Amino acid sequence: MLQFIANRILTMIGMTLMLSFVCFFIIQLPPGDVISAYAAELAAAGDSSGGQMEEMLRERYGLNQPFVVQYLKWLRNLLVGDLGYSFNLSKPVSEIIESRIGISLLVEMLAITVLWAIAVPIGIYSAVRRYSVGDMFATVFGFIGLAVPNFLLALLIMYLVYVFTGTAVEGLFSAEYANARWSLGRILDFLSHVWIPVVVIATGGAAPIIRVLRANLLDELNKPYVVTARAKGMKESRLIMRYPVRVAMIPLVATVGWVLPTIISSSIVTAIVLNLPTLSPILLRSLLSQDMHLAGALILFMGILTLVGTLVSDLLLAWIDPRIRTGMAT
Amino acid sequence: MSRDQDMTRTDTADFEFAPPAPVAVSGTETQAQLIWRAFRRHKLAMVSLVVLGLLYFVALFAEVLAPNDPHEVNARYTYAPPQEFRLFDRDEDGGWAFRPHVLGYKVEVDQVALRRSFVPDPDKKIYIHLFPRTHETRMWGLFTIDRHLIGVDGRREVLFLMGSDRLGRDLLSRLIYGARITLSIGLAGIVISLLMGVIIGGVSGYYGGLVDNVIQRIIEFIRSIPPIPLWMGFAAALPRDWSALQNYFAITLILSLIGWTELARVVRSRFLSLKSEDYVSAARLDGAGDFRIIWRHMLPAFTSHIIATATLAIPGMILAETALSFLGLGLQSPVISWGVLLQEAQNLRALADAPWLLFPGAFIVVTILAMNFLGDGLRDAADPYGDTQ
Amino acid sequence: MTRHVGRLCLSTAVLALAAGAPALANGYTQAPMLDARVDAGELPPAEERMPAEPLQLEAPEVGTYGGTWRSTLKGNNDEGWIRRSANYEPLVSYTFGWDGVVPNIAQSWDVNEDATRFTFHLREGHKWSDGTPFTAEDVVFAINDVINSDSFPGERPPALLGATASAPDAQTVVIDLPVPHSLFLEQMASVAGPQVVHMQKAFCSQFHPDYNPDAEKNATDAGLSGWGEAMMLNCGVRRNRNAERPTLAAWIQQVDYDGINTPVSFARNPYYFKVDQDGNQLPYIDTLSMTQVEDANSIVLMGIAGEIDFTNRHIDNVANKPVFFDNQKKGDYKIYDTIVADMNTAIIQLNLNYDDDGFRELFQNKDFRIALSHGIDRQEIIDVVYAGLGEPYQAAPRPESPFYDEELAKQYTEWDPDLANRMLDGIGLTERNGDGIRLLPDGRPISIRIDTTTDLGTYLDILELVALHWEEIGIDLDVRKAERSYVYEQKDNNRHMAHVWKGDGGLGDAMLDSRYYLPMHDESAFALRWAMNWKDPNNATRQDPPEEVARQLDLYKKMYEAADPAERDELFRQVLEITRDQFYTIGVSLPPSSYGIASNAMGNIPENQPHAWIYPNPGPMNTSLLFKRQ
Repeated sequence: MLQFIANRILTMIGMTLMLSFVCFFIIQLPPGDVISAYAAELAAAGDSSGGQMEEMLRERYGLNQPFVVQYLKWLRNLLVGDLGYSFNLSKPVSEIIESRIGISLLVEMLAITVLWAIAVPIGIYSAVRRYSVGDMFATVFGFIGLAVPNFLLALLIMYLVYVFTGTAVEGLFSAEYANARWSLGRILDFLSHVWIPVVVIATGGAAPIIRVLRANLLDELNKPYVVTARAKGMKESRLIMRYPVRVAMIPLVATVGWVLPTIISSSIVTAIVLNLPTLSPILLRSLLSQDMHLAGALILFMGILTLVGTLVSDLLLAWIDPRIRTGMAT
Repeated sequence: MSRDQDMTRTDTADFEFAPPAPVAVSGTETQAQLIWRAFRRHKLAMVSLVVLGLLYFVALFAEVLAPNDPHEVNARYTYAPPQEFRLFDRDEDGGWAFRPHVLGYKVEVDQVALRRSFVPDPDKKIYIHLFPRTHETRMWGLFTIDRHLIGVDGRREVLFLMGSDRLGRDLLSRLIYGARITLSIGLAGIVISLLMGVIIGGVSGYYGGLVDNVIQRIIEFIRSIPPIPLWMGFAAALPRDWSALQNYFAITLILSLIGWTELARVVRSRFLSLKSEDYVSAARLDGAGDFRIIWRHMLPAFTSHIIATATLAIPGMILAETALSFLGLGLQSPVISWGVLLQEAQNLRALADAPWLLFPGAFIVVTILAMNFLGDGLRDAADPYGDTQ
Repeated sequence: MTRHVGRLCLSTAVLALAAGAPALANGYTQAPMLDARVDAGELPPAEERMPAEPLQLEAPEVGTYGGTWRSTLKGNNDEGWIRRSANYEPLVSYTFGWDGVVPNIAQSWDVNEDATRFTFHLREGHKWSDGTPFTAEDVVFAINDVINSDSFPGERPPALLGATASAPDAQTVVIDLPVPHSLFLEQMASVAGPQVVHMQKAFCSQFHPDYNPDAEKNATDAGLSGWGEAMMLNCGVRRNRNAERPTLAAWIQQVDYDGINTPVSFARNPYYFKVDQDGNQLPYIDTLSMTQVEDANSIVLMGIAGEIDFTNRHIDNVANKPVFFDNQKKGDYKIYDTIVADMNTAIIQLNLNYDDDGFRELFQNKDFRIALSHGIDRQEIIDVVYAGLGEPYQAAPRPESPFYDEELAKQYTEWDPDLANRMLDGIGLTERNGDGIRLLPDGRPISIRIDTTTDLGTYLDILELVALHWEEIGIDLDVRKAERSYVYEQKDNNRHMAHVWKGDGGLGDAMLDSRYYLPMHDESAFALRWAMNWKDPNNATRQDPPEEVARQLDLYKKMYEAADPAERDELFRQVLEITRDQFYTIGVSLPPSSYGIASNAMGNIPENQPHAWIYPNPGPMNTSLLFKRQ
């Protein structure tokens, strides 16, 4: 097993390198660069762009150089731990990530915990009590969550909160707590805001978990081994949880590792509508404005998280299902 | 793991390949007939089948069914709410008669609030006729028709059963035309990613070893490039002179080329656990080829999962065009699709002032639910153990 | 519209308006929030903090001290709102009605006869927000050392390029221009004007290599391209990211505006130089709080929830108006009107310098453009998009402008598809394809691609309608929503077939921003290569314009150099005559008045104030006069 992990980590390093190249390539693929994007943003806001500034900055940031030269420079800096500088935010990239990573983690983890805590029991219930009223309700509700774009759902919840309470819930904190230290008041304030993104992310993500779990559990529930166990008088709850649920979770576990990169990007659109002070809006902004260093660092970071996540998934799979262990060893 | 189960499965699977099988369940029925019989008992699935049939019928005959030209702008009726619809009307001698009609609007322009206000006018009855002669349309781009299923008389009257949008276009007609793209392109993408996912995932899980390793690394690599920059990059790379529809078709293809990875991983993990099952070994010892083992023995073990994944992928595909539009990459006017229509509802003005613009959302939900229940029905019908319940 | 927005006057006569406040020498009142600090000896008393002669303003209503003015910033490049709301403090400022220039930081000024030397007299005892004296040296530093340095990538007001400043004494700044500039004072009062009084020499010179040998190294060590960029970030009016920079404005920024911090807050500047008619030191409002949002819908939502006190930024479009109108009571706010300085809702510009020969020749054919113009049903657009408000209009100064020319404004605006079809037939575009689209002589269909940004909805509505109208005359308009940097990238590299933008330059900005009247601007998208002749004659992409256009550019240059206002105006009229003959662009309609929202608790809300980029609404109203009823 250790050998396996070591091998995987080695491949991961190679892949990260490839990934960095592809990321950098993709980011610069759209026409234009960070400077023209900046000028465009000013113009869209009704401001005029500062003519000669553009050429000068382009020259200075080496944006006129060939792509490969820009990439190699970036890579060299990465290797010595310098993530570069964001033109758009006028800050070192590391500082930006540092200032937002904590809150991003908090929100995403909260959302994912709530999501799984709700979806897994519902999925099991839906399979065990197939075609009951509860199952139907979960199905319809889940699919509405899936079928309504998160963007619209977020806007709708915000608007309904406004209609009923007359307040606009924005971001994760009220103005008075935004720059404050953590305190009981701030936690309460945070909770009074964070429920909207959690609800939006959870409704959007619940249906897949419920349906996949239900479908796989249904495959298992009628298998002879379950019937036999039931016939032998094994307690129903213990019976279901012990084997069929474990098997039915395999497909979920196979992709659970991909939850990791969502810390940055799961809910880009939601985060923008809700003004969440997380990394998601920064990622989108950096992409739209082709802020190479910032976007590159974030995407690379997400890529690494995906690689790590896949490894975690594989290990979990092996742990949950001994048959897979043998399969991988061959 | 019981040996029983494995045997049964092998039997069913072999059935089609060996027509003169000694004992079928009820003499003359084929497996397809068996499934259909089981399926018909599934009421919800039957209803769903009818609903989907209707939707596809509507999509096919949009030109005939849509009461208005979906592109026709009506300057007097921007953001008009759905008209009040009545089936019966009092005729001259005071009795009730079946004469479907809607109430016309008194329109006032409020130049302070910058909008039109619509008050239903009980005296202004607009009668709805079957197959009246109204606007001209090219049917399937082949020939011109000027009669449509329903419509109203007179150039000055309007029929907005589901209200109108910001340019005064009939939402119902736009929904009908929108069904065409929504119910076709997205599905094509799903089929592609399903096939790729099952085949590549199957190969990876079945053979294991080096093949598995290489395929898994490729999947990991594709997955580790976040989708948004990928879309943006591809969108920039698409030829400029392509039409919006061509662009979107290309993007759908790209989406499905990414979309298969998730299913492939799932298929592979199931295969890894299945291939040590007795019935698989038995089939192999029996001399069955690899492809046959995968296709006839292993895949049927988790059709449920594949069906669930497919139904779950549909909303993703329908909504992808919306998510892409957010980046300026999706479908856009004058192309009409449900995603495009729903996108027009995504602002506070629509939510507060014109909630009927959310109708396309309801259609998407109904379609997805119907596809899902249909999938459930198929799964249950195909499940040889289903009847034990 | 109550005020006549007339021509900009170049005259020291307006000095008469500059009332000092000698009668109040010792009777200033200060905000209660400062009392404790003065008592504790942290701050000197009010009369020592203010100049000997503060600028006295006539408040429509004398306000009360205190409160917070809440507004929003969209994204991380929305300095525009800070410049408009809190930082509009130029040497001289526009009048409220945009019909002249009045003293602001400068107490008075003199101009020599040929408009090449401008002398500004500063206020004695004027102080920065850190309590140190503001002198002529600060202005000289800004003009000579920063704005005129090629290493400075920040905003460099064009009027100041090549200028040299000197300081004969601490209160006198002399600016010498290389060529006469008849609109110099108007430029100094524009949104670019505050740049020259934005940089405290003591603070900003730390970023300049002439004053700090380590400046360049400090900048590159911090990851910047050089000292110029450090200067832009810390001391420029655009991207003014550093909250520590001392200021002359009414409020002091408390946290950096870096796209991370939210809200960006400001607190009262105890050294602010203005008082009201009763001798109360301004501003009335204690603090500003600008919440950073990512999406304009959020601003609307906060607005209707009453969580914004005063703004018109990003929300003042037709689509939002009913929402704001309906919720006024619930959100306890009101809608106030602004006068849009734009002369058009959308200017459709065919690229007369397009690289493709077939299309370029077609676009350069004036009859083709006239036919397209006749092919637009403008009244329908006005009815659909603007609820019937507005009138068909071309790219021409607004009716209120002294340069209004009815023919220029109205020519070819009647909707006449028959005439349009006849004209198109007349120029030989008689062949059509199966869809009824006319063909170029080389057989390609006339399909005009136009990319427009996703975030400005009305262009899309208008173009969708125009596309339907042009279908009737056999022209295909292929409208595409696109990400805005894509649109700009296309335009900046002259790869666009056509471009659409609103009509700037309708009122007092007509002469300064004449982008649609002749090719002279980055935004003159109809002929960017010809525009290079004005902007950047050495640029490799420059092309020689036709004779008439060259003559127009020449007249425009003469206009800038004409010291006599009457002669200058006459030259501008001649420029506009050529615009009329050339008919470069196709306009749609005159925009209706716009609006903003203001909490019912806010006092001195400006009604009917002009709204433009170079007139940075609401700045010239003196936002320090806003107050909040308790």
